[in-house]
Amino acid sequence: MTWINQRPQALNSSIAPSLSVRLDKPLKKKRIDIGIYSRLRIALLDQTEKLVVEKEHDSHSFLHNFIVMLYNILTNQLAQATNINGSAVTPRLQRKTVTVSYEVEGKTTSYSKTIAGWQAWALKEDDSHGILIGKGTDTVTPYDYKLADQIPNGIGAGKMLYLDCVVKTHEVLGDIARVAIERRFVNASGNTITVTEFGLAVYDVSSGSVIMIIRDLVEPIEVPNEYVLKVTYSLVVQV
Amino acid sequence: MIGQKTLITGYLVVELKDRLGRSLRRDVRDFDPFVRNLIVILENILKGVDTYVSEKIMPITLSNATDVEGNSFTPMPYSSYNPEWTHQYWNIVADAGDVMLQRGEPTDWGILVGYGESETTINFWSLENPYPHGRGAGYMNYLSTEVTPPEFDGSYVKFTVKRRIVNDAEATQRVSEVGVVGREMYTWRRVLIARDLLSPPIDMPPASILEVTIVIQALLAPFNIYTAFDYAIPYDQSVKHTL
Repeated sequence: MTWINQRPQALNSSIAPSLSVRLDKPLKKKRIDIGIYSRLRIALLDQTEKLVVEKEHDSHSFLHNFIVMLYNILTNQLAQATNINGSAVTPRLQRKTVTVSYEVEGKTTSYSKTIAGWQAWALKEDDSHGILIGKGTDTVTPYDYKLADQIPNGIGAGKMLYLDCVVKTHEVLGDIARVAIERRFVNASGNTITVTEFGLAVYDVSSGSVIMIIRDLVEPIEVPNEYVLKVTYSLVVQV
Repeated sequence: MIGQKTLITGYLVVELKDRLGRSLRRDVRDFDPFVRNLIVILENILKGVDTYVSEKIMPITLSNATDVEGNSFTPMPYSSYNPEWTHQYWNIVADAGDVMLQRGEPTDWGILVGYGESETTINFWSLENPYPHGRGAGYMNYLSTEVTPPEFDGSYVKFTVKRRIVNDAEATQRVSEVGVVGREMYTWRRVLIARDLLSPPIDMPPASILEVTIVIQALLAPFNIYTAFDYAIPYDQSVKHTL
């Protein structure tokens, strides 16, 4: 089953096949989870950014890294996680003042800035952290620290353009509170790209490294050329 | 989807002991406690701070939580005291109440108990009727907290936080709610991150000890079972897949 051919059956009789369908029928509310849980929503948009199909998965894969980070900030301990390069790091919440320098046409420009946190946001074309996508199929394990086969940022064969990754302001809806992290990916490679894995990685200011906290496998998603994949991870609590 | 649990959850082990430490009863209960404050803390951590990006490219706006006194504040992803070399936290591992009193510190944080009976709502910011630290009717004597580091047992990664609480009053006192309050580093601001009811409540005789253990556990991979549901089809017809 490929996503591009999927149309909501209930609406087939009234919608011309060439039109994209907005699926905004509300879900029936049902309490199934307790604690902190994660939801992964994946939407495929066509060249005109019309919604083709949208699905939501339970994200099952908080990694050991995330528990370590939660443990450190709740108990004032210094347990170690594994960064995206496979090295042990101690994730802490720390503020730093750093100087950034870059050279353009032989001229060096520098500026200082203050940074802090375990940043899940990322700027356009930065595929080092934030929401990441891949085509790997390795079974998820608790000690995963990177995607099995990440699709790199770019325009060209086997690449997708990573747009801004944004951490949204939390929402309270009834007995639910959630925070969403969202990112779009554009396929400008010239061919269909199949996506099978998703991850959420954060930039840990204290260690200066990237730590993956969630990794999920999904059924393969075929993203045609010029189509957009919109991915949202939500962290949710419900009383 | 029915009965499916992902995620990070908790359960509670409460053991009532007499003055000699003999177990009177022991219960293991679901602990379903996390409130909005925890999401705010996570949101602000995941946003962090970047003064250059925030000013020049896209604003990074942190959200507010509510402390145990009902005040709105911004949980920062760094220590406000000496941010360059210390690390920020919301500590739930409280010392004994008497020790904290001697140091002039607040005692209303860590694992706390109370006698409130209202259901938790998402915006709860304190126990409904907490027992403050002390001796006598209306108080509980909070002892120190023990913590075990995360360990993976093949299915779950979990860590535990345990606190003993003594009823030093001369009358039986009822415990009907349990909460977890984190104390922000250096500011000492206290923020409720979890609260749940004990049902049925526990009546603590004089000089009895309540041992409260909170187990935070995460059901981790491998668990490649997911349910994908389409908005176009009814919820109950959603399909469960196994990878």
